[in-house]
Amino acid sequence: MKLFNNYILNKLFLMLLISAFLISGCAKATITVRSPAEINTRKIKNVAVGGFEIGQMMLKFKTERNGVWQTHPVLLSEEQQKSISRSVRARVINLLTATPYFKVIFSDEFEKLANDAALQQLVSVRGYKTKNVDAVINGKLWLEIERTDGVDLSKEGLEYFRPPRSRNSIGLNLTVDQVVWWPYKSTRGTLGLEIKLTRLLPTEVVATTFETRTYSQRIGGRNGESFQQIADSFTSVLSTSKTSKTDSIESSSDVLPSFEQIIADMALSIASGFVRRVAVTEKVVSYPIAEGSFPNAKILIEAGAYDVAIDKLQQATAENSDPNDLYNLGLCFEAIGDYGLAHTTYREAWKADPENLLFAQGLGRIERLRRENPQLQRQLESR
Amino acid sequence: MKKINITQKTYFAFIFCICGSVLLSACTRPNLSQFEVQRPSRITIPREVKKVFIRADLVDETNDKLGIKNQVLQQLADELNSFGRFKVSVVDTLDGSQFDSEKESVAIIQGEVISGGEVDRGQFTDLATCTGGISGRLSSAGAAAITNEAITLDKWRGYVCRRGTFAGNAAELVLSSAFSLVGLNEAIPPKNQVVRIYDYKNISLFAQVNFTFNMIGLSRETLAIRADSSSFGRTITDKDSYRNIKESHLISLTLGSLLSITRIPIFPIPNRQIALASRSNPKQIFYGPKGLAIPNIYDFPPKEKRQVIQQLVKRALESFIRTISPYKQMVEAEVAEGGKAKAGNLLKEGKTQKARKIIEAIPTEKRESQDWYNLGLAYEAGALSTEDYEDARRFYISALEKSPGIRLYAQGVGRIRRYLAETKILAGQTQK
Repeated sequence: MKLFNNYILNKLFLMLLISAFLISGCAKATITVRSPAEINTRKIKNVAVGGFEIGQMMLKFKTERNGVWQTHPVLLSEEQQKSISRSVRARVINLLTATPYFKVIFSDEFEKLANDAALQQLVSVRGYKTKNVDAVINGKLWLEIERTDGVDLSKEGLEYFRPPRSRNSIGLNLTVDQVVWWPYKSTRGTLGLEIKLTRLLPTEVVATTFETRTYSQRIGGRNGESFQQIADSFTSVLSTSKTSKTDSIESSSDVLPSFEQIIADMALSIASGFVRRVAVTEKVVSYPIAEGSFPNAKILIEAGAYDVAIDKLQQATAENSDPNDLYNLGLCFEAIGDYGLAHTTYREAWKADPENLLFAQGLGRIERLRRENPQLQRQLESR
Repeated sequence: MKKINITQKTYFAFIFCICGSVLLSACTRPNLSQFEVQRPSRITIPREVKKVFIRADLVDETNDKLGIKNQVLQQLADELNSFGRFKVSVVDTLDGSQFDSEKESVAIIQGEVISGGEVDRGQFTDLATCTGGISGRLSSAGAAAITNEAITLDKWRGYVCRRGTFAGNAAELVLSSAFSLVGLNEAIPPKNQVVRIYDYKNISLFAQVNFTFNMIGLSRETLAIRADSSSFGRTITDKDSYRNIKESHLISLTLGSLLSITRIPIFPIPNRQIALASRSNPKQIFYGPKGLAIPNIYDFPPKEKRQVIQQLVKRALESFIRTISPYKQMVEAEVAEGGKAKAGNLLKEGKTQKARKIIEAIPTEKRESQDWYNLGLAYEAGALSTEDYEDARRFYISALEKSPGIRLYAQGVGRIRRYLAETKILAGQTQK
């Protein structure tokens, strides 16, 4: 019976393994799609980036031994604080310039303004000289980062095992409770960033966002308790060109990042959320490719050779309209942004096989894009 | 049951075959040919801007704790010059003698260099398992040597103690099986868990560049602002610093014999004095009021430090350079083996012209799919114009038509599609 159970288990294991193997090998088309801005920023084409005011900035080292805490603040000069503020501002600009939506106007006039009140005053009296600016982005930041050198305390069971030395001996297996100190180092940073988009004519605050990000990492401590997390994913919604292979720089998850690196990562994360709200963004998505009758379609689509795939698939579907080939043709049209033809082709595929979920998903995707498209088109045409 | 056993064995063999083939396919390195392609910059700088001055006087170094500003500026100038779009020089100041503001537009780069580093020292605690017996000691020490783990010996009978990782445990299992095959085995080796402490040193370096690219001449305009950073981190654990500070056998020495006689298992041992691993509590405080020191020559050999900083600077500058200047990039593509011409080796050696001649000497009707693909690769690798890319695309399609279903050939077509799309942008950015 036991063997039989093992047999079933093995069979299940084998099926799981094969499924995992097949899933991992499933062909997908990688497509770049544009998403409209969440809020209406039409007629805002040229954007200047103002200064980023410092609300509060606190960096400190903390230590703990036997329950006694000590704190050593890191004193930052005004110039150092300004430098951090400039870095955060530049990270926001990095993302803004990567969208196909805004033209960023780099004007000293707005950058020099100390705070939001100064910007409002400048705008209200229309004293600004940079005339080709439609809106200004400015911000305010609050930052707190601490590094801790502390010790955890835990009870551990240490085992001692001695095998039996003879038939008459029972051997020995003891567990001894030990109180063990586990030194650790950790870093924890929180960045609060308020970003505001102000239209200049008529003067109005178009978008404002206040978001916080927390970064924490810990090394050492009790075995297996190390953790590393960032409160929100840093995955940018903006498409980035594939970077070339460069010499990799040594890094270690056991090394705590510097204050500067933490600030840079958190600022980038918040900025990506803001840019998603106010600008048309691009993202890369993957959709499954159908197993059609045209042998090269799958690999051509996978390789991104959409034009050749369209050419071949159009010939193939004219002779024999296999719904899988039609779906793949629709996928190619979707990839090159011809949503009209993609919709028609997906519809043909779905009509031929209405039970097929893949075809219905293709159709649904295009219909969603078409619903969003008027907004997207209006936003793009207003450029 | 016997039949099931045989079936089980077949299944296991099949599973191993699948795993093996997956691992093999993941680990086998394909035959690659490297070639350089030019990619367009992210923003288009007006064509009239040919001269770029990096203003050293306008690059702030207040937070450049590693003192890398000059290296950053020189590396930036060298890399931009190597791409040929601009003539770049680092200057201390800019005056009328360097350019005529009424006749030409030039660009200046200014900004800020931020750098720093830390040496973070400390003490950590770990739990290790010590193994006794001859084969136990040998396999434990062997596994630790294979996975480069630190070992300690317990003070009682010299058991070999190691923390254990997945790879290390697997190695230990393999070694103990090997020892048992040669007859060097006990039934089960004795084990003894210990608390250990060890010292470590973490070294980190950081570089950030905040640059603006300004066009000056008849008008002044800032065209780009970027901030990019890179970091290096290394953890160094001193293997000699590992010390056992609490060993469970100490309990067994005092109470073990008694327990063996009484045959009464007692868990846990209720002795608070014995149960305190007090040396795991570090006396030293590692974060003081002065913060952490910058790595010096004792932490980092100067030559290595220079190399790491060079890498950091290169990485930090990469995005800024790609924003303002068309750049060159190495691309790897797989070479097709075989074919009539057998030109694969020539392509791997970078002899694209020779490969092209040999393949083109074969009549088209006699060319095999590998020849068509390699011809496409030769055209792509030596491409000087859009026509070369168009030809390469045509040859890749011919290869695919001759041997449908070959992914490699389709990848060639896809790659060329991307280049052709970029070439249009590139043409607008360069004079060629």
